Amino acid sequence: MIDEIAARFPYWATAVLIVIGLYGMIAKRSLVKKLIGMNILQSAIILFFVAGSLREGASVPILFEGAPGARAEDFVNPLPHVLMLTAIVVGVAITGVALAFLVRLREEFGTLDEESLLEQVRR
Amino acid sequence: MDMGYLAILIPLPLLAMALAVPVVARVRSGAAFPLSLAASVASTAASVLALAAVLEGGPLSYALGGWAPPVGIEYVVDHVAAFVAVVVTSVSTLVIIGTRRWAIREVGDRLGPFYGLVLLLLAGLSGMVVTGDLFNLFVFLEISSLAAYALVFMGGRAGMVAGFRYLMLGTIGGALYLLGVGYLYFATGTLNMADVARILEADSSGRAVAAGAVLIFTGLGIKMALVPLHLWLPDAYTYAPSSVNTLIAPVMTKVGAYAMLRMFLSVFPDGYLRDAVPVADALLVLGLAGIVLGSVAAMVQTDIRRMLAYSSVANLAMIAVGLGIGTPLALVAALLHIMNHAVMKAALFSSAASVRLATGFSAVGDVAGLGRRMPLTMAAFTLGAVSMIGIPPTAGFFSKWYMAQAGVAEGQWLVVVVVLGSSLMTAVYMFRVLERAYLHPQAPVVAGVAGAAPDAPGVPGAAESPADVVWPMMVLAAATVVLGVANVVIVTHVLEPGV
Amino acid sequence: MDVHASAVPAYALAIPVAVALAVAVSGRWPRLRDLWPVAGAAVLLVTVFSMLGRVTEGEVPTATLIEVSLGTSIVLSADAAGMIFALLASMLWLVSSVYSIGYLRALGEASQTRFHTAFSLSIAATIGVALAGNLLTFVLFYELLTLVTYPLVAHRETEEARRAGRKYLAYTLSAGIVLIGGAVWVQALGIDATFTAGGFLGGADLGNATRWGLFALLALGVSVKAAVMPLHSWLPSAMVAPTPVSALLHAVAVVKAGVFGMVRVVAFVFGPALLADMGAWIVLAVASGTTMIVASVLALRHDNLKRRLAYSTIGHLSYIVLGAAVLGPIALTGALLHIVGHGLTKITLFFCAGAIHARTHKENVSEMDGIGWQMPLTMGAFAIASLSMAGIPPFVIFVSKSYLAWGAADAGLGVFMVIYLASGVLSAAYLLPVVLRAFRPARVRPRYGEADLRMVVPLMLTAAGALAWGIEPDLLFGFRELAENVAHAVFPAAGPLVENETAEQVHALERLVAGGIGILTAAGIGAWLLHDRLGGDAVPALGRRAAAPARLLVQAPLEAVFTTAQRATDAVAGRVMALVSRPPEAWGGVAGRPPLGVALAAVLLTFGVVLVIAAVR
Repeated sequence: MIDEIAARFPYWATAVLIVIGLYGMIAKRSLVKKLIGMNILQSAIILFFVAGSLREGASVPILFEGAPGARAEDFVNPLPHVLMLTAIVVGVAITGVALAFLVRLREEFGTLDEESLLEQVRR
Repeated sequence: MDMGYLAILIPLPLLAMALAVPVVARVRSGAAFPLSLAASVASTAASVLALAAVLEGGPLSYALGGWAPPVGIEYVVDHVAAFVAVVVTSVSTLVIIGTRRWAIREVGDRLGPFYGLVLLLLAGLSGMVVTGDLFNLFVFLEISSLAAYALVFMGGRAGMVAGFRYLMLGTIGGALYLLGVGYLYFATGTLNMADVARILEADSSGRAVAAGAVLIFTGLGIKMALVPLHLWLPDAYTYAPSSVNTLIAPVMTKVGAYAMLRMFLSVFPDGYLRDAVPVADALLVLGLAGIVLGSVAAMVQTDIRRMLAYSSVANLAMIAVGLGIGTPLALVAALLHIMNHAVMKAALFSSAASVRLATGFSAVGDVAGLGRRMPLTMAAFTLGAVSMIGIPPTAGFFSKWYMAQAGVAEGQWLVVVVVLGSSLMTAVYMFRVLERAYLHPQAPVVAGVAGAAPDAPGVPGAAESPADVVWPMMVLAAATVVLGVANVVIVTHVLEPGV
Repeated sequence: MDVHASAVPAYALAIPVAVALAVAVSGRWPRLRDLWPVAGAAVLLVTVFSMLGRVTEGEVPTATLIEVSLGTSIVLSADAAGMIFALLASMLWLVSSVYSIGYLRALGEASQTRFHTAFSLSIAATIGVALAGNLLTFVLFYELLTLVTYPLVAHRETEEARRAGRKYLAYTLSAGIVLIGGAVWVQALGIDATFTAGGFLGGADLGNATRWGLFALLALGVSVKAAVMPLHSWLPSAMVAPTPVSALLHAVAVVKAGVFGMVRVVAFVFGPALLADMGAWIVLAVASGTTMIVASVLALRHDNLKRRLAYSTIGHLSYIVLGAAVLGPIALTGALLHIVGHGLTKITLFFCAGAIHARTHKENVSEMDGIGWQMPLTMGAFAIASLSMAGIPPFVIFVSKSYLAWGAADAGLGVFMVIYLASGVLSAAYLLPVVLRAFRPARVRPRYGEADLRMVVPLMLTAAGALAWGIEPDLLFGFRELAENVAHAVFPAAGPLVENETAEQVHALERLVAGGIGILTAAGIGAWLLHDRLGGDAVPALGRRAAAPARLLVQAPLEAVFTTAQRATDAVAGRVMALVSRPPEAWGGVAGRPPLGVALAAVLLTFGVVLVIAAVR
């Protein structure tokens, strides 16, 4: 079991982070904490991609004078990094929108506690 | 001549104008609507041309920036994509025209951002339809969702809460989809759908592929409001401004369903989602449950918008059932239902919006006597409702007809019973409205009557809505009949070659 | 059959639709608006009639409209059976459109434009049902008929009317869905569902489960509109509608669409050979035979005239179902003729009931003492129609019933012949007392005063029709010839009826029964005259005393059983539809907001499944 986890450490770490993120989104009453949970979830996925692109003993994917070699396996896979740049942008955009929502909600309701928000809406 | 550029021309005008409109509107807020309409019309024209080109010469492909796939991002328009693109762009164009007045009334001081978001939403949706790249699909998915969150958030106090909750759930959906794409990527080394399909065809035995399939299914399940992941939908549709839910209800979830279909048609190998991973079975079971639960929930609603929202849950579930059965006929039925449901839900939500904004009423009990006061609005509602129930020769009948046939052919008797039985349940909740509208004496017209939305700037006693609201609605309502009668043309020329 | 491409059936469908549109747009000018249905009905009648010559010669004018399902089009084809129904519907539309103008104006009904529009659309749907050339077309118009008659049933907009409307929808929409289920199944089997004399399923190689499944769906689907017990309870409720609706729709169009559908299912979908092989006809025969007796018995106890007529309709519809079910050429001829005979007769009765209501606002039989002296023409027509309902010559139902009764005997089912005759006696028992009461001697006779001429003339015309077609069934429209053509096509082995020995026997039977019933009638009239002379309550009292044991032994238990059955079906279909009426407040306001946590938990669960898949497989 330990060996299994150690051998695939990044996967298990991702899984644990995702569960933490989801837990935060479910269990926390504060909308800010829910948002933090969402961020953890997104970060976990970014980590997953980056970890997946890792290659033991490979170099930065930049072809320069005196690079160790020019074969594909000499470099870390650059594509997931590029994808994650996009994903981070998307994530930031969502977080930004969500924060803007929170500001408006706070202005409107005077609280960010989910229960009392729903209580106020229901009335 | 290579017509591939048409693929990119579908989302491009929307995207460009989405950026331009908020800026222009700061100077002249009156320009927001014509510019948005122009973009939407341009996009519709591009989809129609693309459909024509596909019918003539087969699928179109466009490599973004000249990078040949699978390295670069590819945009692909095949029969199915062209079909869905035409549906989405043309329905939303009509809705944009029909809701102009309501948008001014509801978000008058923020027209620029509003139309910017609307266009962004449509750009995202049409992008999802034409992209041939898994990661690009994610980006468009998030673009459209982001715009939808913000639009729902514009709907007053309740809309704000609904919008935030929608954002939470929607983001989980996007994240799970992305994670699934990650699994697929590490299993195949590519993100191009066709390329993924080619590699998986050769070898799809890995665990990563299975995990990816399930994650993508769950993520898209949230986006297409598959029971039990639909819980964001009723609130979002109910509390969004009327000019918004009229737009997102017909097209948004439908594109989620289309993305799901894409996974079946052009990513995973034939039968993989059936035999290796029980995605198809899950869709079938959840779809059947969704039809029943959605219909029952719709029956007990007091607010027309919420009733229509639950009806959407049921109808999306029917699309899921079609995917779950998975035979060509069932897929045809599912695609046909994507179109039919988009058209009839647009007609229904348009007339609900017309009622709400002309009278301030949105509760089922408040429509009493409206059949005489707003004859055209209620006529559109009636046609939409009849089609929703599935009375021939309206469009809604024929998707159920094909779906039930596919069920019989596969020996899935439960599908037949549920799909046909849902007609009866639909009749129950639709006739609750129709009976009150036509066969009850008119409700006394009192300002601030119980049930009127607190934020509705109602003009009690108003008669029929103005012509520019009514005619798009009538076009949509008439389309439910025309598309029903002409369904064979669509099925044989567009859908059958596509599946 | 000799299929000829022709646009005439399509015109026949288009005319009432055009009338509906014309009515809808000219609602502001009532005189013009009311003109359209009359003119349209005349044009429709001529249009349908123009096909008659070709149809009697065996041609089938067929219009293939648009293809609406893969490989299946909307086909309108005027075969002999369809012609009978189409002729009847267009003929009676003409008289009832005149009648409804008089009725609606006399009572000052609201929403007359909606009424006339829906009425014309109902005729369109009926013509569609009559001329449907395949199962899908039939289903399409059958469903549309439900939809467009709903506003007519609930026309009065009272709570009672709305409740009746909901009940009507619950029953007919459910039945429509069942029928669609059958049509879907046929389509999925890949069978060409073009109506074929002798049945299109006959040639197909079907398993037993499939055959019975299809039979259950299709027969059940048409049984509701045919009001076969215990699926009948929508019909008496629907009598809350204005009388022209009850007259045309619930005596002719809707219910006849049901029984006509049954004829289609029996003779053109399954075919006698297949049904005989399955033994499925027994189900139909028993159900309809029971309905005939029970409905007639139930009719006896209803004081409300329209309700009594409704139960009479239920009974007589089953004449037709049974005629189809006994699977013989003579009975089938009789069934088709009874569509005509009962249509003419029952519409007369409803017209009379409506005229009485419009003139005197009386609806109950018990209030109608002596009304015959006030409205002699109306009640005279009522008397003719009552005699016809009882199967007394020389009226039209006598002809159809002779075929039916003899057909049952010919098929070796003497018991059903007895039921037919018994039901005739019961028909006399629930209708003739009305006539007797109406012409009850009264010291102070009410002043003469008929209803509006636009009501009296139509009802006299239909009564005259009941007499004329009774004397010569082939008059003008060749109903008997058409019906016999159908029977010959469905049962080719039996040979043409007209030159057949059996036909001779039928006519012999006619004479026999005519003689018997003539004597009975004479006795009845004599008794009545005697009774008049005595001036007392002697005869009714005698009748009551004689009826008491019958009531105790037959009526009471039957009523108990069937009201229970009726309650059960009402509970199933009606309760669902009752939701429609439930005021929104009853649901406790806005439904609870489902917690976001539930959704997230669902996601988490799915995610857990993924992890398990990824880790274990």
